[in-house]
Amino acid sequence: MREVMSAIEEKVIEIIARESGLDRTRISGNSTLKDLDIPSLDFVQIMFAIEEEFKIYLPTNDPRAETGSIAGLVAEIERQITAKTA
Amino acid sequence: MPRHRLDALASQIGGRCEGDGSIEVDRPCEPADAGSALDLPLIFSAEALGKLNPGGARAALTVEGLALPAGRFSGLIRVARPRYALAKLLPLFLPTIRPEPGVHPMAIVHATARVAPDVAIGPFTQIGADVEVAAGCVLDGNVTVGERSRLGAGCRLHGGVRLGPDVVLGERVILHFNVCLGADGFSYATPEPGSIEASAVGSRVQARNYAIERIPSLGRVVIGDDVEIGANSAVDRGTVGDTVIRRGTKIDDLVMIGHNCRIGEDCLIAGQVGIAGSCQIGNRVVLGGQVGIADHVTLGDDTMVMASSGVGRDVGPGMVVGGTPALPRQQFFEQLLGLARLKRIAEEIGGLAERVRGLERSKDRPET
Repeated sequence: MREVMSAIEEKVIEIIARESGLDRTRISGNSTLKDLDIPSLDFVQIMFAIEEEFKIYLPTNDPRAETGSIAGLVAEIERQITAKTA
Repeated sequence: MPRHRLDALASQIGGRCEGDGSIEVDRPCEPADAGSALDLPLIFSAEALGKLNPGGARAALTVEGLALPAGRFSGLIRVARPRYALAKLLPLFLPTIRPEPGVHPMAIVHATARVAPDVAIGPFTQIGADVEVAAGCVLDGNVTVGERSRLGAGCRLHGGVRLGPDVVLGERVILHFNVCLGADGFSYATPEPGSIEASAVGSRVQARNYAIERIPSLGRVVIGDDVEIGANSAVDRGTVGDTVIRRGTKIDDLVMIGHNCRIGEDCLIAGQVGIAGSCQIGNRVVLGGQVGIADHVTLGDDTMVMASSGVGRDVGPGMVVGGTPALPRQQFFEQLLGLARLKRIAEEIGGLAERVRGLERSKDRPET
């Protein structure tokens, strides 16, 4: 399970770096999209890219989504993947 | 450029000096351009550090918490808010280019105009009758100031600025190239209800416009203290009342503000914004680039409108809105994400429909 989580986290960081143009060394599990100064429209693009990558639907009404950590985002992705395969 | 000691600069911009405060610098610059020992590269991120020219600079301006290679700089200024620090820092390096006081021999100043002795007026500038220009104003060449206009102390009008009659500027107003204040408003009427009024009830045009009569503008444009307006922006005069922009508001290039608008204090209005007539914009409102606001709309204090949005109805105080028609930010994002999801949702529905058809076929098949 640890390896699966790491792979998801790595992919999420890759997507954030690609969509925001940030150097991926600046992004870690503890980062929040707000800390990274990601503009709000890039945030929408990141959410969409993550949904496409993992074939999931992220909650759109979560007011913490921009301030929550990437680790939290990864946990939500993992939860949805587990639910789909259960 | 003027030369400054690092420790003196740090105290002037509210920063913290580290290392050798006696280092002198004379040019803030991009990290990649830092070639001289007198350069002060601005290093506010790891990316910026990566672009630093390896030679030259002995000192840098950076942000609190950013790790820099040990020993790379002999002195540093660290600040908490880089952009705010820049607002304090860059004026210290501005060359003093204030022209000599006096009226250029090729300027035309009406005999009834009252111009303070230390005002500088450039060539081909025209000052109309009964105009007042207070102390410390600088008007470059090719500026027009309409009759009865009032300029408060310390205003700066760059080349090509046009002020119509009766324009009032507060103190320290800055108008960049070709700003135009006080043109007539876009205001017309027809004898019978025209297409705009009639088509409001349906999608077909119900009436035609003819004999369009202009409604002249008798009001003024009144600009508060410390307002800055960018190049090629225009503010129309009011129809009978005034078009007003209050103290401290900053306006970018190519902004259009219609007749009778009232803009509050300390607003930030980015390039290519268009505000139609009679809008009420509260204090500290932020309008992103290319925002369009329909006529008679009210935006409450502290409203923020995201770039390229279209606002057709009132927005309450403190709201962040985006899109066309503008919606609260969260709703706008949901809408964007919803649109982006449509293709996948259609594919999923197609897959489900195929499965249902398969189930129905197997149900209809006789059991063996």
